[in-house]
Amino acid sequence: MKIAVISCIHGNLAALEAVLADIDQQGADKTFCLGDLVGYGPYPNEVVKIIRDRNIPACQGCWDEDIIDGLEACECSYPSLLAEKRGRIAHEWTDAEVTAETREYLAQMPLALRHENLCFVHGSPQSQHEYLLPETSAFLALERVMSTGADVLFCGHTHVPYVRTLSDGQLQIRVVNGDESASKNTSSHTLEQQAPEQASQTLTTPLKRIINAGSVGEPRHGKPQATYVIYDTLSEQTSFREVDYDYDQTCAAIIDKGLPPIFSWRLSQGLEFAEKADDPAHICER
Amino acid sequence: MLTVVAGSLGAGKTRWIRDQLTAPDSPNSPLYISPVTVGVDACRLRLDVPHLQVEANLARSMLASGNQAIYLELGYPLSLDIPMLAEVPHHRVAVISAHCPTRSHWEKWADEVIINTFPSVDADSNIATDVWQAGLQGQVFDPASLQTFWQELVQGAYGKMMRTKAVLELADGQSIYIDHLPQQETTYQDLPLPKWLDGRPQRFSGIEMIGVGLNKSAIAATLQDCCLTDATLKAHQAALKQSQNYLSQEAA
Repeated sequence: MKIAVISCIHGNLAALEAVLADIDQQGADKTFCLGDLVGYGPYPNEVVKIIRDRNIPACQGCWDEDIIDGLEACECSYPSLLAEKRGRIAHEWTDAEVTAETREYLAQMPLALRHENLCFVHGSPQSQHEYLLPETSAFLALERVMSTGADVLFCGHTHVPYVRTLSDGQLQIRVVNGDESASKNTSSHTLEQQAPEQASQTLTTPLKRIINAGSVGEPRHGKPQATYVIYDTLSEQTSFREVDYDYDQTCAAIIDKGLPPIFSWRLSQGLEFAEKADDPAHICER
Repeated sequence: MLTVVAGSLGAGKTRWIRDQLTAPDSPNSPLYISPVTVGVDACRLRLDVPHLQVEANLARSMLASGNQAIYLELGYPLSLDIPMLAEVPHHRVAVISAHCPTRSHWEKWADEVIINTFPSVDADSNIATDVWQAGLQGQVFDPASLQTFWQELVQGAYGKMMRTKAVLELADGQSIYIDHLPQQETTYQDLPLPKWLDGRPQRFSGIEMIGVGLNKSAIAATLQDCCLTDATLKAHQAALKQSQNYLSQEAA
């Protein structure tokens, strides 16, 4: 079975239409969407309508949640004052633009989707706001995949596509009381002698994979082309697709609809509207 | 003696003046005149030449003592034909790059031509250029925001940039110099000044830029969005002081 996975459309209608046309051309059997249908871009309602009309299963992204629940940012949401300022302008514009119908759709989106051994989330299984970066620690990455019970975790949010294979996955969990954990120099042998009652569990898992689908509407890979992935469930092969679209149309609409002109310039340069968090050690506190 | 220094953008005019002022036989109480700028070059020169007098008013500086060594830097877009200079004996120095396309023009104007290897920019006299500058004393920048703004600025988000230089204060109390010419990496330099950790810095900072079709209001607004509020500055400085106290206690 060939599935297409799209993410982070951000109200970019021209990009979505071009990607859906490409998906049809590729002969995908099913399409999944990882959320962020709205935010920054000029056509939030139109994008939601297409996803809904086509019955594309979609999980909720951070921007979709923010429109429903309001802004309650963790520091990773806005890595700079400028990003925060721009993010708030985009949020306020989108909040005023979306219809009741769009809002209702965004509110009912699930946090995760499952299909056989595949799981689909926006940021991570923990939160729509958490970044699973390629540099995120293997321990954390593996824990996140294993928490879903799936073999392949599809995510978006970073806007940069990647595949990460976690081979020979092994998680060791040991519960140690406070006194023992404070004794950093204690060897594991001694520790076992001192605390034979401690709980220890080792989980071994076959190969797991994280696949980031990139972004349809707000690419961050240095080029303005929309990105998404095609995944073959039989061969387990992933193909990244880069799709040309008329980004000038979206750039013009950004200005026409009263969004900050800098969004238009950044989109045309293949730069994100506002920069992303880049600390792989950060745990989102949202 | 008055020395008038002019040349291409980024060719090294200020650097040449600094070399004269720091040479073993340099004058005792030199005066540097930099008209129509907020003073980025003057700030940097003063770090190397602390006794340098600085004057922005050209007419007033012409009244200076005849024995004083005076360096007048003519930055773009000042005309090379300043009527006032006709009445004052002076020496003309042109600082240009080796591949300067208007070399003959400079050779005709100058008494002395200094040829540097630095790549420089010659403003096309047929194209209307914009100059924008701002004094920023007291403003403190969020480094991540500044990085984004600078990337946008030099890549043309606010118009075609020909030269930008700035002295800016960062959230960690450090004062930095930033310099950019097209097709070159931006130069960042920590200035040898103490970290300012008590309130808004009471020392020079500012930005100067030359370009074509500059969206000045967008530049000013974005720059403002990169600045720390009173509350965030206070929080930053409190954290920095706490960290410094901790480090000094550790050392003790």
